[in-house]
Amino acid sequence: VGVLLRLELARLLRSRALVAAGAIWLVAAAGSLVHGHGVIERQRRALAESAALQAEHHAAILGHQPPTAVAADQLYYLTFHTRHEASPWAALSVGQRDERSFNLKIRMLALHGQLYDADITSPLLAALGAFDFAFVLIALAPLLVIAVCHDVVSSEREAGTWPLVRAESVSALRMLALKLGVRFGVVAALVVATTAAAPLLVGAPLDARVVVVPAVALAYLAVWAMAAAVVALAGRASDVNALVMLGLWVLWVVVGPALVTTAGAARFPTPEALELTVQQRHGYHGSWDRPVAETMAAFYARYPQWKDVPVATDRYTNAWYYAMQQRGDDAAATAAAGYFETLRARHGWVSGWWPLLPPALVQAALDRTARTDLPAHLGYLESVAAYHERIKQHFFPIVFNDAPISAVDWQAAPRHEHRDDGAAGDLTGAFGLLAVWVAAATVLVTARRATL
Amino acid sequence: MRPALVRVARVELTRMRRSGALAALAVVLGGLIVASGLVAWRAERAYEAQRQRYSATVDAQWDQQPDRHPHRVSHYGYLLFRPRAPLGFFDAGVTANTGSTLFIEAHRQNSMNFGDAAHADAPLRFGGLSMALVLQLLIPLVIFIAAAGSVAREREEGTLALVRSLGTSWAAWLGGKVLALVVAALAIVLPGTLVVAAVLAATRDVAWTSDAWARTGALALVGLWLALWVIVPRVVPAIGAAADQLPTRAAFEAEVERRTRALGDSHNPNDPTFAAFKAETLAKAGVSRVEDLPVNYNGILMIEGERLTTDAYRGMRALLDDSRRGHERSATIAAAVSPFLAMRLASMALAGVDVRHVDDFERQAEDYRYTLVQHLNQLHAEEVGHADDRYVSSGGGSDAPSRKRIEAEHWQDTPAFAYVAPVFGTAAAQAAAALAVLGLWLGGMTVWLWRVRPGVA
Repeated sequence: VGVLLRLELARLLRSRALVAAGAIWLVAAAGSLVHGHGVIERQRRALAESAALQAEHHAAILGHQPPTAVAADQLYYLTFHTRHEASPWAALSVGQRDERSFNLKIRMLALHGQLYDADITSPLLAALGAFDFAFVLIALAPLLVIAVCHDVVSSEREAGTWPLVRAESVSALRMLALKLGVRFGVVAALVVATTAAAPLLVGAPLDARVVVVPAVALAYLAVWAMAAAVVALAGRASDVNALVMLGLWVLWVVVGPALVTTAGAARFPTPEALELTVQQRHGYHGSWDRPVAETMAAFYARYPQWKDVPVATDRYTNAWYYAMQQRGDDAAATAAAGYFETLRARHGWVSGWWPLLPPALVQAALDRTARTDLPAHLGYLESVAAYHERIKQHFFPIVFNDAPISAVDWQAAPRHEHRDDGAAGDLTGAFGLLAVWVAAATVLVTARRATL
Repeated sequence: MRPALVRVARVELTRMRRSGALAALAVVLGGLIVASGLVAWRAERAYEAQRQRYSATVDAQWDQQPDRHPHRVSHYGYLLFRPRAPLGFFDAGVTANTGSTLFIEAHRQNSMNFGDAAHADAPLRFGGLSMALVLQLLIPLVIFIAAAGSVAREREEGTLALVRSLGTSWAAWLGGKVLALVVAALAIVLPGTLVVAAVLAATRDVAWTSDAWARTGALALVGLWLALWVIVPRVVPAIGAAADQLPTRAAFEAEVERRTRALGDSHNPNDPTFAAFKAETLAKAGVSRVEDLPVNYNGILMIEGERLTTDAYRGMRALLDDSRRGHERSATIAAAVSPFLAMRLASMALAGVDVRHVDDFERQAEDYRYTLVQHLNQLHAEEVGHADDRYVSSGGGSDAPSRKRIEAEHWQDTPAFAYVAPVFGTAAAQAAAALAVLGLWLGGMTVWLWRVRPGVA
């Protein structure tokens, strides 16, 4: 048996095709790290510069004003930067962070007219498909496993050596396990080593994930190797096995996730997006044609603490202006809550299918731990909403008291930061499910070992 | 020679028909094409219905505005919804990666919001389900595998030597194979077929000598598909984009503000540009006070301010468009290596779902915004007297303080925004570069195949 295994290993390592595939893997992995790191570094630089941009903007607005100017008049123009900091793992699993806002600027105006602003992106590059390490791992690594494992038994059959192997004292099942182990071991060693090195190369901190992520990668590849073993049970020719494995790859990696998300989008439409936009605009602007007292009453329902400060009804006041903005948000509130609710429900529904699609399962887990998935983005938007509320609360005294700008300490305005680095625990669910896949396939192969 | 070619093709097609696995794949892929086409078509229709419903609401709201001060109206603005391209069900292109809703108003060029990708559930690195995905990505893979299997069988059965000894030429043999694959996969997947032909030829030496070539051939083809269909289309454009970095919106707007301030700083009461503008306006009318001007100076100032901010924005926007053209160029360069990418770019352009169509929508929307806002500023200058241009208690029904309101008829007859898609010729011109690349692949392959043909045995 030892001789056979050494032979197997030697044959594998001599294969020029495998060496070429390994080289492609390393180049692709390196390229994906460079790309992911570049995308996230660009965002980090932008976030690092954003305080200076805000200071420059505030200076330009306030710089020429006389000290007696009404502060609330200028407040209209002031933008405040928010920051969705990238987690240390974002460079490895970019998710759709490159397509989503991460540096929203908000004014004290109606929130729902600002919260959904898109950042500048390259639609062409996004449509061609980003190339992060998570993608290389879930899409390319299985092809390596398929390349070496699809003919684990059929190659012996075709070479006429399988009867000889079977005649050995070792059982066919054990032989399959050993051969598969050698072949899978070589590929897995390469992929797991790369996965272990990747976080170090992009400067992720040394937490438990440095071990857990390679473990997930190993379990993921094991699912593919076991799939090859199941396919080998059918006893078909090598080219048929390769075709079946490629078909599985297309189904799991390309078609399955696309089908599920398409179904999710059809099942959970989001007309609330347009609805909240229309409502916000109408709620705010309509107030310009409604009595001041009515608008203020709506405002006091939410902020009773300002009820006793008199607001003139026969002229323009800033208190009335910001109360009108509030009415825009009030009008959009139901649709906006519905929008977030629908997105979360859809995400839950779609994620419910991922256990059936291991590549999507792993990608979702990596995006989760990197905090580059949809819930992470929604969390950021909610933190922006909370910050907007803090800004309002902070400046309402200035608005209601008609303070001059000289009386305002602009530096004291609240600052926004949103940081969530994720944890190793985000990956345990996916690891468990992959283990279930491997166990199920093992049971199947063992039960049907007679067909070998 | 032609009958020989046809004969080879017919034999090949018969074999393909008999191959169970390939037939099954063909059924699956065919079903997938039909299903994805129908699903996408339904989704596009649902989007259009929703878009039309909200467009009608917004149009009605615009017309139902009460009498308002013109500047109020220019902040009320307009909500535009980007229509989908008629062929969007075939190829989604960049549709999901761009916004669909644009709020236009005075002073500001807002972003197009609510793109599907911004709130998508999972990063679909191969794109959503569409006919284009199946035709351009998956079918070439099937062709590659079919081709590898076909040659492997010829070798194993020893029929190639037989066919050759019967006088079938190299060109007829290879041409027959290619013809069969083309027929099997329809003419749409031409680029994939050409690569196959090239690899068929490349395996010539290996095929005659090595025992293990059949599997290596299949592996090489899958590797090639991986390299040219999956890796190159992502990596090369990304390298180009790294060289042509886009600004973030925050940085972009900061630069627009800087440029606007350089043109004329409306936040500086002593700004020389606006001081000169005021002096010039007064001099032209031969008066010394803005109150004596025949039109409302506030409106005139609005017109000038809008012109300056729009100038600053458009200057920056042109730079942004240049960067995006740069991304297109690097993709086109990558297409020289990847026929998939060439096909992808041509398909997106022809289906009207490429970045240029998005840019074109944004440009038309911005032109509409500018015209609308300046029209309202003109009304501000002409219909609102300078003395009436301040807040007074309106009393009566609305009881909201207001500057002078003018009759709603003034803006009710403004034409609604109607996006005019570029004529097909423009798109075809866009696709020309990509199609030329495909042509080069075709020509190059044919020449190469002719040169590497084996001599008569």
